Amino acid sequence: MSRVARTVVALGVLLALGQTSCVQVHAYERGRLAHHTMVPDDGASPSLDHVYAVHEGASGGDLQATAGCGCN
Amino acid sequence: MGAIDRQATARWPLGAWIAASIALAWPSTSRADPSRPGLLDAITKKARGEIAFYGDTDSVQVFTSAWKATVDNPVSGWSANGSYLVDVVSAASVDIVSTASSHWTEVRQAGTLGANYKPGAIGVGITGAVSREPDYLSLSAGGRLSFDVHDKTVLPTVGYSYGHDTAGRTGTPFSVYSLDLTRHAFDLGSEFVLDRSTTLSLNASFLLERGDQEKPYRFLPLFSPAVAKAIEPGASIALVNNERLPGRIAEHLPNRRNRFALSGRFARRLARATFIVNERVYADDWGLKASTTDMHLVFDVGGRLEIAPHFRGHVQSSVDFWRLAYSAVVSTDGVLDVPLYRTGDRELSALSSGTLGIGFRYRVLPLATPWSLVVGLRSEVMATIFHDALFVRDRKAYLNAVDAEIEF
Repeated sequence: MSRVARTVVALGVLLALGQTSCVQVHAYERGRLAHHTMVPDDGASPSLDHVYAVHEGASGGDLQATAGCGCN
Repeated sequence: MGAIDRQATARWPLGAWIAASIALAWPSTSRADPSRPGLLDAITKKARGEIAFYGDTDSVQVFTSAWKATVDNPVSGWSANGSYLVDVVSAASVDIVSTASSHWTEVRQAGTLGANYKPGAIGVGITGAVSREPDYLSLSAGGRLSFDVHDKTVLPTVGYSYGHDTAGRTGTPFSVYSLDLTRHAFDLGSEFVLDRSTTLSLNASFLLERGDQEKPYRFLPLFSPAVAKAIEPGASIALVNNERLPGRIAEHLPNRRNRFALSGRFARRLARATFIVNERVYADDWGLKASTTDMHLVFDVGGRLEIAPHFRGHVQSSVDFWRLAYSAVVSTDGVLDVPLYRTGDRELSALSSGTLGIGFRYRVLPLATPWSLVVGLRSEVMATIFHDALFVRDRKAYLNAVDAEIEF
């Protein structure tokens, strides 16, 4: 099995495990989940994100286009 | 930077274009549909601005101004957003000084436009981005599908984006000289609602890069094999210039890079605090491996103030072809024998970095008002240790930012 296939299978297993670990949460119980700090990227600083992208050689690999480094 | 003077010529048509696009996309009450009363009442409009200053011990300063606007109608499930960012970079770093080049200042402008539509259990989002410097143009576009399953406790997403970068030299048209790079990014992940206070997000990202990634201004010192072995990390400019062979050689990188990252985000909301931890592990076929841990604690202080200390740690190995000092041999027939792949990019070497910061967020208007105005302040200090690089052993940096967000 290729590395990519193994990765896809592992992700599938993770998703399945994650689904079984979730409990039902009714709409009226989602007050805390709706808090702005629970939302990924809420309040993210574009300038700080850009600093990380320039400082860390492992940046990238996501869909957010932060094109150009301003540093070349 | 080479010998080229890179004094920037700030241009604004990109910003004007984005502002016009946002203005056109912004819904106005004149578009109200009387047959659907109350629908527009659900529209929220949000605008956010940030101004930030960055400086480090390598004589780099950056001023950033970033703006973002979002309109959102959760009833019908659509949203649209646009952003604009301008960086003013001023640099006289050791890499510039070591090549006897002059201090330079450069302006980068970047903008994005995006839209999302999720009327039910399936949603779709698209985004486009452009970034431009005097010698660099980057374009990208992508899409994402999102799903609600298992009573909205499992929220998978899958996405793809395509990007194309063109790098050149200041003052030289791309038609005369340019380096091209294409990027394909694939993203697969899901958020899991573990209970009424806890979420866990898992994500896998693949980024395939094809093309030239060399920096046109980056030239490396070469040493004889015996001298190269004796060069130590942090060797000074004077020592390098004294020991190196005559001339410098251009950076050369592989034309293919496959990058893979797995990331997780755990968030738990308590009565008056939120704990958030992100972990990301990364590997690519250049041999670079990395781990990044990022933690936030957000405390509610009273009804309007939040205080959020922050920690980030990052460690990475070097790429396989990294050398502290590249050696060269001139053969008897005059051919220069040097490593095929070579780089002077310190961010491709083994390094460790840590960030400590604190953020404040204050809601100016009380909750009862129809408008929301939030102001924020963030201060971060960063330290990086380069384990195997010329000229510098460490870099200390700071970033201070103020922001304001209005929603109505």
